[in-house]
Amino acid sequence: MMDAEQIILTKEFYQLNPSEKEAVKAYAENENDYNEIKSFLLATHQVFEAQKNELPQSLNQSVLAELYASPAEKKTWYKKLLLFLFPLDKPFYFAPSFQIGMATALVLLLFNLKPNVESGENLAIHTVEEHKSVGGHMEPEEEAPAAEVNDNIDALTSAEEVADQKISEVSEKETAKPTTTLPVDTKDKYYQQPPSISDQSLSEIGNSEMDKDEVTQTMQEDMVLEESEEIEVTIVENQKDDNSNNTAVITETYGNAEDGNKVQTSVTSTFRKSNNKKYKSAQEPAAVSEPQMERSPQYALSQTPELNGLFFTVK
Amino acid sequence: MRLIKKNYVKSSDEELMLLYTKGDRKAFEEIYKRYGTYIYNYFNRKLWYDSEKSEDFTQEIFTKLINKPGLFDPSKKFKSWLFTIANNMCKNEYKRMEVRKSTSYDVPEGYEAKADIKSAENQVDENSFSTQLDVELNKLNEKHKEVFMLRHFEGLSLNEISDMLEISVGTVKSRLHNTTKLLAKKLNTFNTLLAE
Repeated sequence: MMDAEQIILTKEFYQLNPSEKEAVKAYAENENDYNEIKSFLLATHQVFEAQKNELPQSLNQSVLAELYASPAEKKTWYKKLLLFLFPLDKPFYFAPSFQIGMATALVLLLFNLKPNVESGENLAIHTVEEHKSVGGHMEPEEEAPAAEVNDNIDALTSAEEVADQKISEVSEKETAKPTTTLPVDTKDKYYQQPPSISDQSLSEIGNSEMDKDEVTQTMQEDMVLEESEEIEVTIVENQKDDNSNNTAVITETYGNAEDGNKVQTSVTSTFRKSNNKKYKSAQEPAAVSEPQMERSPQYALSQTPELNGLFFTVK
Repeated sequence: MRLIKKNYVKSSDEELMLLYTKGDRKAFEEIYKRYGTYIYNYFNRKLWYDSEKSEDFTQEIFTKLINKPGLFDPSKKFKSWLFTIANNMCKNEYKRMEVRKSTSYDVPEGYEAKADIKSAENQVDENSFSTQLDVELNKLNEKHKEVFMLRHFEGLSLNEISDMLEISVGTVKSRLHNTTKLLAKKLNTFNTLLAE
């Protein structure tokens, strides 16, 4: 069915059938209006046709050239990709594939040349750990202080032997038994002291600087530290006990980790000295081959003029 | 080998596009013959009668069709789809030039543009029918004018205009009736002269 405009343009009013009159009713209800609209439309079409231009020949040629130059079939994506990566009309160094490859190689080279900070840190940690692990077996480093201790003890021993007349009261009263003054030729031989101090002996201490409780506590700590396996020795200090010229006393400081708290405990151990100038623990039994001095009550106290004047009366 | 020569003239636009999609370049040639002039004149009218720009735009739209025939949706009418693309290209050009509101043709709704663009021919005979028609058309609302031009200048049917402008056919008819009756009444004097 034709549009109203087409009916108006192609037919006269009297040629219209009822359906066509109904169709053009929106434009014209009578013949005058119909003719007026028809004249306007005819004139407009003439004007518009006159305004239309023909296609330029150059445009025709360019469009048809484009049509027959381009392949009608679709290019697959990989063909497009290959054409992009390896263009035929450009030198190889302008090709994206070459440029991408060179950029990748450059990046990889830079990453390889960059110093690895993390590996350096790891190496440092390894060095520390290695040092720790090796340190436990490095006897020379561990023994060096011990040798120094021995020397110190020797020096102290000889010094005390020179001033032997000044015997510590505490040492003598702790033992509560007469000790033997070593002969000069056997001064390097020491003997095991009694492991405990009796109450009787403690009562004889008198003016001692160390009272009973302190001595007992020191002994209890000794026992605990000996039995505990979790004790970790952190610092070892060696001193010569000036309370006795017959024994070498080494004070050891322990670091004990209990309940996360670092507890340091100082323990005094008594050593005896053998001929080869190596000390053993006082708690260890003496070897059979070791000569033991007989303890004589006459050597309980070193007799010095001062002590004789203070404690002894001439009968 | 093709024994029977295809009659491209009798084929519809959609059939031709389907053939071209399969590789038949002659089919596209037929399409270009049908719509080359329409599209060129459409661009020429919409782009201030700039012939060079109209050529460029016409070549661009047909190049797009040549290189990407898959863009066409066979379920739609080819003519409506083609003019829709052309209309969108014009809108983009207006935005690019930032002179959309000052053009004589594509003016905002409710604004009656003045006939300030006159060809040399119109300046010689200002009282001619075409000049007065341009003047009256420029006074119209843009939507009404667009429907009138698409119907009588480009020769699109009501359904094609409806598809292109994405409005109902009833709206197209209403706008077309009102515009035609208004212009006919205003240009009645010229019609009388023409009839004489």
